Amino acid sequence: MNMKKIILLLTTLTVTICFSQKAELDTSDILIGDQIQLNVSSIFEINEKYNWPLFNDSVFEKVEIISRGEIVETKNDSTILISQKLILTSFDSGSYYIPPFIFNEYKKTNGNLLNVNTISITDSNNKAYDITSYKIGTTEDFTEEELAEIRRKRWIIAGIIFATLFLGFIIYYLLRKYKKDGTILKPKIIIPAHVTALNKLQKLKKEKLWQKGELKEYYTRISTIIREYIELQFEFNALELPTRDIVSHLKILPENEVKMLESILKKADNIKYAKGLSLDEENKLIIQQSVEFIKKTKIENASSK
Amino acid sequence: MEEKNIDIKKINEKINKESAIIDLLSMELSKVIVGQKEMVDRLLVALLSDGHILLEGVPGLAKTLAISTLAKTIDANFSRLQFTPDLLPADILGTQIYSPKKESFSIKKGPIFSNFILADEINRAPAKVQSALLEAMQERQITIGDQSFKLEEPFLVMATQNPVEQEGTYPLPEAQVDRFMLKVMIDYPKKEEEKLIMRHNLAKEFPQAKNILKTESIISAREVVKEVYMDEKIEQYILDIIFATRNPEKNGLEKIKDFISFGGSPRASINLAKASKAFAFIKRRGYVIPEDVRAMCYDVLRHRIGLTYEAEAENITTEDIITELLNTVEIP
Repeated sequence: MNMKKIILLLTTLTVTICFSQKAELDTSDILIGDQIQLNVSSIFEINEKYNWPLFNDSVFEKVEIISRGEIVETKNDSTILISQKLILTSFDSGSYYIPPFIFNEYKKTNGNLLNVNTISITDSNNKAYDITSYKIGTTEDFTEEELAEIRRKRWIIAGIIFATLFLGFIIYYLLRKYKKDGTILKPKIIIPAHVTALNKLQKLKKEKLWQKGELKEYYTRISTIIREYIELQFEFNALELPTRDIVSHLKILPENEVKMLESILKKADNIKYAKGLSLDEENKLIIQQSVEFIKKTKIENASSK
Repeated sequence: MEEKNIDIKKINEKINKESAIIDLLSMELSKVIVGQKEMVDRLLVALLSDGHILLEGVPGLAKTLAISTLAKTIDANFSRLQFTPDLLPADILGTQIYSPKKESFSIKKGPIFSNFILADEINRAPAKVQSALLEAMQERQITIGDQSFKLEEPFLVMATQNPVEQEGTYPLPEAQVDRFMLKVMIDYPKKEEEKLIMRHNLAKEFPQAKNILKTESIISAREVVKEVYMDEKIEQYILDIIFATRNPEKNGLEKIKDFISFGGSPRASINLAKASKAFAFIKRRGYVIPEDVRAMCYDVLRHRIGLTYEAEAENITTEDIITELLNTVEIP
């Protein structure tokens, strides 16, 4: 063999040795968490001895193996091609060197450099902290129909809250009111003024005051009953007015009734203020006159206090 | 009971006898004074209840004429004092005069030593003169130098004042105006009355009142007035009214509470009782009834109730307050 042939043979062998073992990455630059594929392959002679590496988790520092593909063998007459695919990732930024895989004393793969990058916060395109550009929750995120539905629901909720509060207030108010009154919707009893006056006169008669010598008290009570009756029946302050003024207020009544009233009140005034005396017959008569005056001047619907 | 009844009867008899002077006085006064029945009644009330009277009204309403005529009808000393800004207390009370001949001081009594004093336009004199007169009214005694002199009975001061022309006047302080038993407001006469007044003044001779009574008659009538019976109920009514002026809110008068700065003093209660008795006497009654109290209430209380700024701002007068009181205080 001449020299030229020997050189050619050695070169071919070297090339074959050098380029028949490969460890290739999809890319050498990734972002944190990105996945990349590592293809490892080698060609062996049929009878050649080799050790295929076991890719366990501790193979690469800071670079993790996510999945391991099957070991694929492709044979022909003289050689055998063995290959395996690995999926890698990394969660730390930096540059990591993936060392060569050694199969035997003659064959090994090349090494690879993997750059793991973080997202740059100064990147004006990403605007990592600018939340104003996000549209979540604003009207622009929804369609018109969705907005109308949201508004309708809001009104319903507001209405329910308002109605509940209003009802609560009404219940509270009613409870307080009736608790204070001590009665619940008890109807007011209206007693006509003449009924009250006649009852009082009847009671006075039974007390027999003048028979006991309490003449002044007897006439004072008659005068008060008549004036109270006039105050309610004719609606003016008869209790605060003297006899003359009461009589002048009641000129609307028939003359006989006015005279009767004047006689009753003047008689009472005489006993009350002038130590006047009266006969037993007069004492009996004055209560009859009072009853008669009330009966003649009564108005059925005039109420008592 | 019978004894008490006799008492009232006796009083009534006395009144019937003594009240003749009322008819005489009224008749004589009516010769000169046309209308003004209320004013004449009040003058008689003051005369009979030993009080003093202040008349207020615009000029020309016969205030001075009424008082001078009343004085003329009674056989008594009468002095008229025209109050002016330059008047001095000594001009009213009197003074000590040195006699070079006797080399001693002698007393010169002033016009106040009379039975009837007409203090015309009292608000035109300065406070010291008013004070001297009002003190004499209260004490019924004058001290000149080191000597004291009792004033004669009856002693009645009838003062007038003019509500207009307030410039250069000295309004009477509340404490001093309280010395007057009654303050009477004089109003214009009615049309018919004014026609008569006009005729009187156009006639050849203006009617003159005659001296028809002696001072003893007045003193005697005053004693009967004191006997007029006032029941406990009437006393209670008077007290209710006076107390309502002091504590209106306690008497259902919440709405006028803010209009009263001060109410009637005990002198108001005393004078209302005295005036009510005199009024009952004039009406020939031996006992007082609520009508008498109400009739005298305005004249007794008018100058004794102090009004607040709120009342003045709302044009509320003491008359409005008294009306409200009478319409609220219950008659016993």
